[in-house]
Parts: sequence; structure tokens; C-alpha cells
Amino acid sequence: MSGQAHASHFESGARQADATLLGMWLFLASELLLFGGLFALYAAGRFENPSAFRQGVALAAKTVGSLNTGILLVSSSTVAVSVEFLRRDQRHASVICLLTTVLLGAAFLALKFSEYAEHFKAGIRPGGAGPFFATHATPGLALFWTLYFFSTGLHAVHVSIGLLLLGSTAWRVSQGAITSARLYSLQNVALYWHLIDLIWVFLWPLYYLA
Amino acid sequence: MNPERPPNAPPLSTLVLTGVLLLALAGASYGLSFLTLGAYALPVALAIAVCKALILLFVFMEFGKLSTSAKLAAGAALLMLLLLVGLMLADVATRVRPPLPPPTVS
Amino acid sequence: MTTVAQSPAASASGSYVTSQKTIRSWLLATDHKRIGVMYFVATSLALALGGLFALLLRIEHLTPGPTIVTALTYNRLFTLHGVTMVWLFMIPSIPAAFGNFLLPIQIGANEVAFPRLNLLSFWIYVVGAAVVLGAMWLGALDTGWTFYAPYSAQSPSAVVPTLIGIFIVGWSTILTGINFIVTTHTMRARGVDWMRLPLFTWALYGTSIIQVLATPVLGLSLLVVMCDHAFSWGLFDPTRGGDPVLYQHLFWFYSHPAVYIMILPAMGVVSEIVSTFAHKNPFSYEAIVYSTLGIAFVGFLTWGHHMFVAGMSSFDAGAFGVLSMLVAIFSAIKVYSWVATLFRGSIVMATPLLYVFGFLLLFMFGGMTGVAVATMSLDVHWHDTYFVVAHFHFVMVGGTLTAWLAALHYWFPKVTGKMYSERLGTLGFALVFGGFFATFVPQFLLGNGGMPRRYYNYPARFQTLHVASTLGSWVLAAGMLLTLGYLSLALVRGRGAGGNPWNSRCFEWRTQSPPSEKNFDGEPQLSLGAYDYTTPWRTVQRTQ
Repeated sequence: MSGQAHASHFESGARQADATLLGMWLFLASELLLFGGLFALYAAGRFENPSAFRQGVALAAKTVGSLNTGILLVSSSTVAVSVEFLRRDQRHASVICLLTTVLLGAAFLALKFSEYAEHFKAGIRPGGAGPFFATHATPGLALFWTLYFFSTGLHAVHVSIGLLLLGSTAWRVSQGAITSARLYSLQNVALYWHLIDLIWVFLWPLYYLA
Repeated sequence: MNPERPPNAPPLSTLVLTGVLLLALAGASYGLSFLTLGAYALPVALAIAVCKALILLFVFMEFGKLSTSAKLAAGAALLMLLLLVGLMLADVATRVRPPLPPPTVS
Repeated sequence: MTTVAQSPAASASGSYVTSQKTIRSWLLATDHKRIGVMYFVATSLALALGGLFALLLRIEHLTPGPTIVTALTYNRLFTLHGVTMVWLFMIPSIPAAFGNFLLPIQIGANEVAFPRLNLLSFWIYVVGAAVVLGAMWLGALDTGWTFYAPYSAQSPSAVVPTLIGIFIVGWSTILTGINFIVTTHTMRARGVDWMRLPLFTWALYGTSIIQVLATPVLGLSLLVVMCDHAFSWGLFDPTRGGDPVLYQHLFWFYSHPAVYIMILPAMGVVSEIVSTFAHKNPFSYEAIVYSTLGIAFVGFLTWGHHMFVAGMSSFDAGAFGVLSMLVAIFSAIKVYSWVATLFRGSIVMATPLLYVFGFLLLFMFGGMTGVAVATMSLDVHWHDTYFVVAHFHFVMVGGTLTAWLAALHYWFPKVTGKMYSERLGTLGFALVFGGFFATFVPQFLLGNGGMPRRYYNYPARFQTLHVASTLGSWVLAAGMLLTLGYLSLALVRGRGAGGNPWNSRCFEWRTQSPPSEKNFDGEPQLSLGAYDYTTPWRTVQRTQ
């Protein structure tokens, strides 16, 4: 019994699956390096301004940030489960899990933006702008907060893209366009989401915990 | 039935338990962050992060089941990342900052 | 001239050119050959534009004072020259144009792994290029193609639009790299094992690895500069805790491997032409393959040699100095192998081989001056002088552009099915080579004598060398225009080339010229090696 036919230039469906998976991991490699520069800037900045960075961490919204960590970790679980459901041809369950992931991701973004709003209210803006920095003039502190906004902002952009991908994938699964025979379409979106989670796993301790 | 389903796909219970484990590790990291660990705070938090990352990578992202080429791609990226961070940090860490000359009395 | 070898299935049955003839079928083509041709046209336009900027710069330098433009315009011109040449020509020129056309054929496939992604990559390139060039209308920017902080965050010029354009072009590079790597891994025909791949394919593979891993870091560094400029975020502003040297780390982490993106495909072209025109297998196939991978890897370890005088620590400077020496070893191994391949070969002189000879001389010289500037104690004297300018033009123009011209003349009959005039090819080569020499050798002397780069005016004692360099640039330009002329003529009125005019064994020559839409009729029979010159061509043909 066949699923959809594979693309004509591939000699088999298995070959297409292999190719797509390798392509996706190469893309993840490039995304990792995109964030890499920010981690490098943080490392150098922290080395130069250890107490300012610790001060910045102390001012971070730890509860919200940690809640967001929990949300993303759960969302990785739900998307992983959705892949497994589709592997077993349980389309309905898969879609439910995908939509749950989308909701969790949306919650992440909502919390993130509320966090930004809180920072702005406290006078902390990127670029060392904002009344907070008038009273806390350590250069390292401005650097910490600008790096925070940049890193979490770039991450939030990726979360948004991930939500769009998850949503459209959920639609395609529900319509039967993605099935267990062409699992890689869903797998790739799941991989992207896991990478987003991976990046956050490291952003969280650097900007919220220590 | 999907003929291409790999024989060793993770059962659902594994995935759910992994999620619970990840939350537990996050919880531990959160709790530890309230203790005054001084200089150890960041390394400890990052070490837990590395554990979570490995779990995400091997269970959810099924890294172990990848082709050699895909593993190499990911490995190369990680290596380059460490290189970038490492040599940038090394620069900042090994710069010699000569003491400023004493102020001249004018 | 040896008899023109024919390959099976002559072109009466149609080719990738004739299969569909509407403009739409070209602009929306998923055929890798058509995409390669479109990239060729686009990158050639970029080359012409970048060359025009260069000619204007050189005219400005005819006199020590102001000549034809103001200082501000001069700064914008050298920035535009660098940006256009690096991102719109040098990076994509060989891989995206020739690579797209040839990679699937060289591995016995009829397509790349992701044809629609390939088309998307092309259009992303076009959009990015349009944004970069559109920024000219907003006044362009004057930071130099390296956009160093803090000036790039402060310059009252069109920094952000230009960087947006380059950011977009970068994604084209990354996606092409992904496509080529996956294609090489998953689309090889039966019998085409890794150590039987054509050397040009290996070169593209190494290049693609660098493209995927290095370009994102550029993307990030540009994003940071954009935010610093547009929103005054000051991530590299010392008064806000930033460090401008860190910008240079991020920028050069990409831009040094980027020069290997520019040279590896060129080296792949040289490997192919050397074997074909010496009618001999490579002196050491493994040496070339491992050197390619060696350059791809070690190239990532050397970026700090651009920062010797920037304020980096001497620990890092020492480390980067040593590592920079290592990468030269691989290039030397390749040059040795090429020369040894030519030695005692049955050499046929033709324009592609002329350009390869030019490459060997110029690249070697440029490479050696690279080792010289990688020596920190010497670079202190030469940094930011015309010595460095001459060095990188030797490797990029004398290396990559020369190899691009070699590739153009080598694969022209395959892509178009036509042949050009060999005499005009020789004349073109003489003008290009002579013009290049005359343009850039004086620049070594200028730099060593103390002439700084990116300077609008200069002391009168440098004028003679500057005038010599400018005259040389006119000869070089004449050679390029002549080449454009006779190749265009050949396109329209050239005689038919046949499947294998060079009597090569490499896989692309076993197809018709121009290739059919699917490259091969049925399953390609590639059991006989790409460099198997001991087997007569007749025997090879019988296996097809």
C-alpha cells in the first residue's frame, strides 16, 4: 500500500526522506551558528563585566522566564508526541498535539512580550536607553540588557516562524497531505521547534539564573 | 501501515517521561539559582542546560538514529560554534592592559 | 587540433535550451541547468558593475588630488566595489552558475536534491542584489565592504538598506550550500562513489560546507550593525560596554572562510582543466580531495590574521598567525599536484589551459604574499596598505576571476553547444593577463612604499605607480570586453562544438552539447572513471 508518490527526481521515497532529513539538519546547523555570535558576545561581555552581568541577571524576570522555559519544554514534548502519533497513522491525535504546541508557543510569546513591557516600564530599553540607565550607569549593564533584548528578540522571531510552520503543518496533516508515509514534512518542523527549545535552554541560565 | 516506520521509534511513554525529566531538570536549575553558589552558579546552570540539551537532542531529535553525514553536519556546527566563542573569549581574556600612566600635574 | 570526440544522442532531439521556449519557462525553471545559466547572467552583470566601480576608482587615482569625484563619493565607490564584487559576484560566480549547471551531471543525476529550493535560492539572490543596488539610490554607504564598528553604526549613509540586501543574499548562499551537500550525498548515480567523484564536485562540496557554516555568522554580525545603526543599540559602543574588536571577530569569522568559498571552486576548475588538457589523470586524486577538505576546515581557524593591529590580544594573534600558515600547506599541495599532472602529459594548448597557466602563476604569487602578510611582524607594516590590496586581488582576480574565465572557456561548448574563436580567446587572455599584471604589481610597490588603502588623495611621489596601475586596469577591461564580444558572437554564430570537443573523460562530456533536459538518456553508465585517459574514447562511448 503506498502513500503519496515521491518526487520524480528521487529514485525512491526512502531516498527523498533521507535527503530531506539531511537538508533539515544542515539548516539547523546554520541556525545554530546564527545564534552562535550572540553567545560569543555574551561570553566576552561577561568576562569583561562580571559584576554588571550578574547585576543584570538579578534584575531579570526570573519567574516569567522560568515559566517560559517550562512552556517550551512541554511544547517540545507535545510536538514529539505528535510526530509519534502520525507515525502510527493516528492523524486526529497528531493534529491535537500540534495545536497544543501552537498554543504553548503562543503563550510563550505572550509572556515574552509582557516581560518586555515590564522592562520598558522599569525604564530598561535596549541600547542603554531608558531612565533606568541614567541611575545605573555601568557600561556592562547596558551591554547585558541590549544583548538580552537582541538574543531573546531574535529567538522570539524564530518562535513566531515556528508557530506559522506548526500551524500550517497541522492543517496539512488534518487534510491528509502529510501522512505516515511522508513523515519527514512533520519531522522537519518538529526539528525546527526542538532547536528553538534548545537555544532557549541556554538563553535561560545566561540571562535569568546565574 | 507505514512501510518505512523505523523499527525503533520511541514509544509514547518514553516521550512523555522525557518531558517530565526535562521539567525536573529545569526545576532543579531554578531551585539551585536561589542558592548563593558564587562563581559556581553559572557553570552549574550551564551544566544542567547541557544535560537538557543532550536529552532533547537524543530523544526528541533522534540524533542517534541519524545518518553519519547528518551527525557530521551537526558536529561541525557545534565545533565551529565552540571555536568562535572560544577564540573570542580567549582574545578578551588574554589582552594585556598596561597600567595607565600617572596623571601629570599641570 | 584533435578530432572532435562525439558523445551519443546528438542534439537533434532537443536540449535543455530548446525543450521549452517561453520566458516564463526560464524564470520559473526548476531545471538546474537553466538556473545555472540565469545565475551566470546575473553574476556577470554584477561583475560588470563592480568592474565599472573599479575603473572609476582607478581614474580617480590618476592624480594625487581630486580627479573626478569627491572624497565622499570615492568612499562610497570603494565600498560598492567591494560589496558588489564579494557578495554579488565572487561568492556565487563559480558555484551558483557553473556548479548548478554541472554538479548533477558530474554525479550522474538528472537534478539537484531540491529543485524548487534551487529556484528560490536564485530569486532570493536577485532580490538581495536588487536591495543592495537599490541602496545606491539612497546614497550607498562609505564604510568599506567590511562595515567596521563603530563607524558603521554612525555613518550617515545607507548602511541599513545595504546590509539588508547582503543579509538576503546570504540566505541564497546558505540554501545553495545545503542543496549541493544533500545532492552530493543522495543523488549520485550507481557506481559513482565518493572517491570517484570529479574533482570539481569535491570542490563544490567543500565550498558548500563553508557556505552553510560561515554565512550565518555574517548574518548575525550584519543584524547587530543594523540594530546599532537604526536604533542606536550600541552593542559595539565602548561607552555602553561594547567592544569594536568583537565586531571584527564576528565579521572575519565569516569573511575569511568566505575567501575559501571564492577559491575552492576555482581550484576545482583548475583540477578539471589540467587533467583534460594534459590528457592525464591527476597526479594525486587523494591529495586534491583531502587538501580541499583541509582548506575547508582549517580556513575556519585563521580569521584573526585580519586583526593583527586591531587591538586583539597577542595570544590570539600568535595562535592565528600559526594557524594561517597551516592553510597555505594545502594550497601548495594542490599546486604541486597540478604541475605534476601537467608534467609529461599530452598537452593541448587552448584558451582554458592558458587561463589555468595564468592562474598557477598568479595564485601562487598571491598565495605567497598571503603567507607574508599572515606574518604578524610584517603585517604591522603592510596592514591597510596597498600591499594587502594587491595580495587579495592577486588571489581573487588572478585566482578566482582567472579560473572563472577558464571555466567559461572550458564549459562554453558544453553549455551552449557552440565553439568560440581560439585566436580571439588567446588575444583575450593576453590582454586580461597582461592587464592584470600591470594593474596589480605596482600596487605591491605602492603598499610597501607606504600608500594606505582607501585613501582618496596621496603624496605626489606615488603618482607614477598609480598611473601605471590605472593604465593596466584599462588593458584588463579591454580584455574582458573583448571576451564578452567574441563569446557573444560565438553564441550566435559559432560553429557546433559536439559533445566532447576537448576529448575529456570527465562525466559531463559524456552528454550531448547542450545537454538534454534530463542530462542522461536513461541510467548513466559511469563505470569508467572521470580521469581514465588510458581507455580510448571509443571504448568509453560504447559503455554509454
